[in-house]
Amino acid sequence: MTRILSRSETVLLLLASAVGLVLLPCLNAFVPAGGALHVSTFSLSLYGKYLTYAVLALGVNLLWGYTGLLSLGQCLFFSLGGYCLGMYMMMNISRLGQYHEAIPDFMVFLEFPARFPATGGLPPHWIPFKHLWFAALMVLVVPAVVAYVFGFLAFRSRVKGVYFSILSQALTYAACLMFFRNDFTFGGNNGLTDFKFLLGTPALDAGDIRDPVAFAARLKAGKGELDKYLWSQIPAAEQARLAAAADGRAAEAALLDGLNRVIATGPVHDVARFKGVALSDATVRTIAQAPKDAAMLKLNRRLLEEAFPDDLRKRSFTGFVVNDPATKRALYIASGILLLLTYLFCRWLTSTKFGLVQRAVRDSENRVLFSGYATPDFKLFVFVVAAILSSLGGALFVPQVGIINPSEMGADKSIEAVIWVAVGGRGNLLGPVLGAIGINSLKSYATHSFAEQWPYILGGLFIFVTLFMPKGIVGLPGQMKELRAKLARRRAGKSADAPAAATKLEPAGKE
Amino acid sequence: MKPSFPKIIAGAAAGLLAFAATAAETVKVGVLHSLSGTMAISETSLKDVLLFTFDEINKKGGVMGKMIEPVVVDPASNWPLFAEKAEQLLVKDKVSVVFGCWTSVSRKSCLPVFEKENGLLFYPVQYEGEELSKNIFYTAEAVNQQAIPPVDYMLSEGKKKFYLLGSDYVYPRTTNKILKKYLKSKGIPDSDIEEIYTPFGHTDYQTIVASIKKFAAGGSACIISTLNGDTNVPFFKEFANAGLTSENCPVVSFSISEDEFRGLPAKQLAGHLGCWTYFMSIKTPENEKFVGDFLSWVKAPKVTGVDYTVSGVDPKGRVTCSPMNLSRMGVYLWKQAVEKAGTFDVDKVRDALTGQKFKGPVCEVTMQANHHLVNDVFIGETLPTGQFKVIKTFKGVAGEPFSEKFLK
Repeated sequence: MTRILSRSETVLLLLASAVGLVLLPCLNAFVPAGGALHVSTFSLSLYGKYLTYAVLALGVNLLWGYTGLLSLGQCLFFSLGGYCLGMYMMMNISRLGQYHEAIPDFMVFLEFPARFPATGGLPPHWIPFKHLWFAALMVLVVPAVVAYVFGFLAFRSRVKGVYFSILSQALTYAACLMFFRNDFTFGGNNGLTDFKFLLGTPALDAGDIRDPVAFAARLKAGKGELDKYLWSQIPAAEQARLAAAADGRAAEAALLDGLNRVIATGPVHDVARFKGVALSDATVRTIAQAPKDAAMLKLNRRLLEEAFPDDLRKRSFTGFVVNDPATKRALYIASGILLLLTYLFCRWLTSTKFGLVQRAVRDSENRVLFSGYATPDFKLFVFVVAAILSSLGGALFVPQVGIINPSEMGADKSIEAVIWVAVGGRGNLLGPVLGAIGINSLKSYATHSFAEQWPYILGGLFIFVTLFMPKGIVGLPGQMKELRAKLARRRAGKSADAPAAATKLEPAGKE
Repeated sequence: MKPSFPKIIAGAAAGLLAFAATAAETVKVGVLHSLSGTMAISETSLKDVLLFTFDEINKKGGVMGKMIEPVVVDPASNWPLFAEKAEQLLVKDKVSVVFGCWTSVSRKSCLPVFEKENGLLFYPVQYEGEELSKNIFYTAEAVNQQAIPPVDYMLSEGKKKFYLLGSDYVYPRTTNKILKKYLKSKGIPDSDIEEIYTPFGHTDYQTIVASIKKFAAGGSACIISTLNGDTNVPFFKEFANAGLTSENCPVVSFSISEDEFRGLPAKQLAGHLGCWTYFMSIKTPENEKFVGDFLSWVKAPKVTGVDYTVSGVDPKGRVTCSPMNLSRMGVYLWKQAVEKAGTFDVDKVRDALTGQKFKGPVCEVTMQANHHLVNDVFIGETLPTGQFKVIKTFKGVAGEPFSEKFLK
């Protein structure tokens, strides 16, 4: 079996993983803020964003660098992945949004309940997205299907070169316009935002209340301090609904709405209120931290559970608050692992026989075609694989930046991704990663420190790289070597006074 | 010849010391407006007026004796970048306050950041409401300060049919939703209200204008337009071509201020109406001073001696407009609150902001407990010069973000 990774590459990967996946998160978690070596959560989350961009760049590179297909629409797949996970996170907010409705906020204000009365306002295709497994599956399936259909049509019609680039750009632009429309049910211009939880929601759901009728009666009787308080916090409308409830189901629905409103609007965590209640140590510790926003909602749910153990079913809530430093750290690590796996996958794919055909298609497609290979199928496969990789990157991008909207599908974003690859160096795996991380770090830095001049700085860099560094950053050592050899030859030529002889020494076999 | 290593160290140390010395006397303030990308055309004017205001304040001794040190960043009309830059300003630069955002989506993108880091954001652009964050102060016009007054005016002028036309995004959608409810409460039947949205950058208004013409046939119709930016050009062109005028069917536009006029053919818009809490043309000594000072400042923009000249921005033909005025008043309200609280601490400044009054260029405003202003509202008629002539004034309208509170 041939070695897929060279020794130096293995060392490099191990080193990068040790620093990126172990050292940085540890410096964030264990070195106290203010310490010289502390890595702030802000920085870590920023790096996490760059890592997802690097995954996107590897997708672009697989197409452009290895197969010669310049796709100017790769951000479409990145965004589709983002939207799939974003939909899951929107569903996860449950009743804890601005309007306290069971459907995401934007559906309330766009009056979806009138449009989709059968589902209470939720468009039917949104319903399965409350399950993570479904959303995760869609992160893979949706971009694959879109890429397959588009690729099938494009490659079958022998669309090549710039025409393919233009078509891919048109595809993403069309999708962008479509997503911009509010009627398209994906949040329109604002997109999906205000995410609160991952992997669970503290909102109470059907089945969480053991006996709704009894619980409502108990709260209404108001024997204990806490019962009285809770009842007073339930909005009058829900109280009226409880009074009119004909059966357990109606009572449950009203009580769920009421209690979720309490959880959403809190804070419930007033220690005096919970005097007689035995709270767990973890809860007491959390109260001491005076959590805000989503973390407070999580605490509210736990307090209710601990205060009413007979009435509320304890569901070990494993959800995470999106803005928590620990969650951000986990997302960063997940992005790092995704990048590493993507890298290894691309390395494996390009080192197989398939990879060889891929490069042959890039260098002379007709020759490969006439040798009996169905090049459209090869290209289609790579296109679908690259779409899935980009989509995975997008799915991890969204929880880290907290918003996904149609502007991410704009053609300019896809072109930016191509520029990362060009600057880093295409046709190898390290270049795109370096390009994506390098340019985005530079952009983060320059939009802050040179707010007025940064477009010139970045633009200048791009022009410089295209003119003078055709192989990008990764090609730089080779270029330097060549330059040094040239200079040495010139010097040698001068001393020997035989310039003509020197030019003949030019190495013949360039890559 | 290279400078010796010790010399470099000494130089760096001296520089650091000087930096530390100045840093002690300044207060960092963030400016979060797009300077590149699609929104740059609107937002750079706000950055300019903010820097102008900082300079104005610094010349008079700063905030509690500290000079304002602006930290200008460019979120580049990129919504995720807004969140990133907001966090950078709050966490890395530790700014005391941020002035910024134009679109609602940019505000919504950085809202979680301001809440998490307990920062302070002043938002100066008319918006749709339905939001109230304890970390954001909305000097902007709320719907009841910009949309309701002109509708009242149109009703009083005898208009009975309303055509609601907007770009398809959150501000027009929400505003029109509220307006529809309001019109219904005023006895306008559904059949006399039309609601149409066009995508961003839409250019073909032929069919829409044809339907407007039919709608306006009786002469008692008006148009409430929330069309955004460039789309106004083809719309008003088509509108004029169809023989519609401000006489037989007036258009009230909510998104066109003096600043937007710089890019529009003013001739076709003449006679139509706008509604804001400020017009450049309002004659008061304070406004004349503000306009005059700003126009002379942009010719050589400096903040406490530091050059802020921007290449590519034409100092000629500059105007002032409502978002700019609201931006500037936000800075003054913050300054007053800081001085009342005696600290830059966000929680204390927030408490001090409620009830803060400021005499602006055209009227006095008050910050309410709901983080919105009590402000005067003006309806203006567009002149071919790109200015507005005030035709109606509503005194002291209290901004209210939630429509359920002002719709009875």
